[in-house]
Amino acid sequence: MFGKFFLKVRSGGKVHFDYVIAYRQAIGIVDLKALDRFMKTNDVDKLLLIAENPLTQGTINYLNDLSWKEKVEVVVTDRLLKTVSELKKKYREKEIKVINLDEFGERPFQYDSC
Amino acid sequence: MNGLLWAIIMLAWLWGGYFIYGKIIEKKLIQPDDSRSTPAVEYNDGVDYSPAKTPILFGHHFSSIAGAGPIVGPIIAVLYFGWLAASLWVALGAVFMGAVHDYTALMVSVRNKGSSLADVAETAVSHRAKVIFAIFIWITLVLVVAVFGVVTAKTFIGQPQIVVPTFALILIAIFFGWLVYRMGVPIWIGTVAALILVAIFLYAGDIYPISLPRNATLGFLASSPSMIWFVILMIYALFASVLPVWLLLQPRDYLSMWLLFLGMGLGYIGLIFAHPTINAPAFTSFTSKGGPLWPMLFVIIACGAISGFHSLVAGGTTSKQLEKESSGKIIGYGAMIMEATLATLVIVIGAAALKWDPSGKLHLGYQFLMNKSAGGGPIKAFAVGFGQLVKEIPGLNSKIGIYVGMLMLNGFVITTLDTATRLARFVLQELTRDTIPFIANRWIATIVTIAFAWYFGATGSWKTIWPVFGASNQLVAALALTVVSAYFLGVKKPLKYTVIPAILMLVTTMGALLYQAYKFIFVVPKLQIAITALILFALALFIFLEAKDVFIALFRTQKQTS
Repeated sequence: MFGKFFLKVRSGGKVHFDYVIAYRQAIGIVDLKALDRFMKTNDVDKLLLIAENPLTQGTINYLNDLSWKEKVEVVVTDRLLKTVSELKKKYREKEIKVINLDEFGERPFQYDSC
Repeated sequence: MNGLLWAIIMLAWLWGGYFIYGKIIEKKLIQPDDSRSTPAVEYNDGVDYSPAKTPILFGHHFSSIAGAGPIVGPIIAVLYFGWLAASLWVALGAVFMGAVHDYTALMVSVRNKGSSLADVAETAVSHRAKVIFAIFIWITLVLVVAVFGVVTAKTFIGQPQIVVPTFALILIAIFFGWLVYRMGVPIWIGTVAALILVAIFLYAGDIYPISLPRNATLGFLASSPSMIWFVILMIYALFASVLPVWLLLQPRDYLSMWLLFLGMGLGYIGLIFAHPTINAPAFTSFTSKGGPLWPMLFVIIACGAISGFHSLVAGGTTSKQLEKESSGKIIGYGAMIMEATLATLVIVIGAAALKWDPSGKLHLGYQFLMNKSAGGGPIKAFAVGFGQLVKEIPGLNSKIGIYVGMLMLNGFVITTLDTATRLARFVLQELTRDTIPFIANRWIATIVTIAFAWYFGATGSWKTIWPVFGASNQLVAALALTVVSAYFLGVKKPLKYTVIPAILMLVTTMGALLYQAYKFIFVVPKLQIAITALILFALALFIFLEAKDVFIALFRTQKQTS
């Protein structure tokens, strides 16, 4: 945990990841906006978007306008968590980061708690 | 005066305000243009951005902004300052500030591609403003967890019959979520099944009340039975806040919406049948146990008049579902007026359905029911008053009314507990992800949040924490109004409609925080609350100064251009 922090300081703020695995039942523009910031502030080789629902045309259009679209691979599965867990195992030798998109980016600022 | 008559006068003012002042705001500031695509239409991704029919979006937005806040605040304020003082603040605050805040926050987000207000703050003010805004939100959420945890724990002591249905509501929500989202059961069947289960557990709670022994403790964690309940609630919040959103948060919010509509409907129908005479004083005093009328009344009633959290919903989910700009007024402005309608019902319950008894001996008396040493508090007082109204409806009795009222409010409070813990965790993770990844771990972030909330809850009472929470919530509103004002200045719209409420709320809430700091340093030493108040004050001052620079720069640019 701290290792990543010091690595980030050394490399001028960017951390290298071989794979970033981002998952949510349905992935939309809000998720892509959050990932856009992450991709621009880190050095990512491949971004795997794992979802239960296929990306809609609106989401695909937005994705196509992003500078890092070439690095994206979309995986649609009906076993979301199992697929994520399998991918984590598959790439355990690599530098990976797993992102639960339900808890990432703008979503914290969407609810009224009282 | 008759309570029903006062409610009618209030509703006439509030909804008159919607049609008259709402129209002015629409015309002068928003100028909706339905030929302009909203983000919901332009970016329709079927996930967050998706046009929704106006009545459906109104229901979503209203149930998102209305919870325990507009009930707890007014019930305290009537006791401290009298029903007329509380009513005037709700009436004026909602029409001229709260609804303007919600409507403008919604439409500024719509005009900024559905961005959250934190993002608008970054664009319109600065990146630092966004970070400070996030820190502010986190501290406010910690206070929310503490105050609602303490309030609920008190209810379990005073009304042990409500323990079973309150916790059952959580399991029912999980069951509902599993039925609807995983098993594909139609939503109406799930709803009916859930509501039947709620009724069964209400009955079970009456037969099997759960009380803790009077001298029960948990070492340093809890020194009394109510603190044991508080610790149990904190443990619940710890685990519930990491459950998937679809499993608990979404279904429980949906069920709470039904409880909200059921409660409001029963309350107003009961008011028509009961039409009780107001027996509480219109005005008590310029000073009370809660502090001086200014600034404390304006922070004790936060959510019923103006609430900063509404801007999160407006710029979060609602702005991404608005089908056309002209619907913004009914959703943004109208839902806040509807929340003030709920606050009005609560004020009438306090003023007319309960008996004003300063001796504190009468069991149906307001003062007795609010007495924490008798296991009372705002939830119990509201529920008993609600029961007094509901019992007048043919076929119902006060016992059913009390349980429904208490379950409704406890349901909201429990919702608040885990939603606030979850949000606080998210915000803390976002704040520390790049700098202190150790804290960004979801369990660590949750434990840090809960630990602070426990510390506040264990060393303070709801009476001491509530005003600080109210002040911080109102300050979020003042900051949101500052952000939208910066936006309106940039697009050359008149500023008085948003800047005047922003300044009034800024001065009032900063005054309230300073008063709290003074009180908890010099009068009743509670350093943790005093320090929190001072930190919030400093953060607000920082954003204010940051925004001031932006305003000056924008004014200069406009002057040079003209």
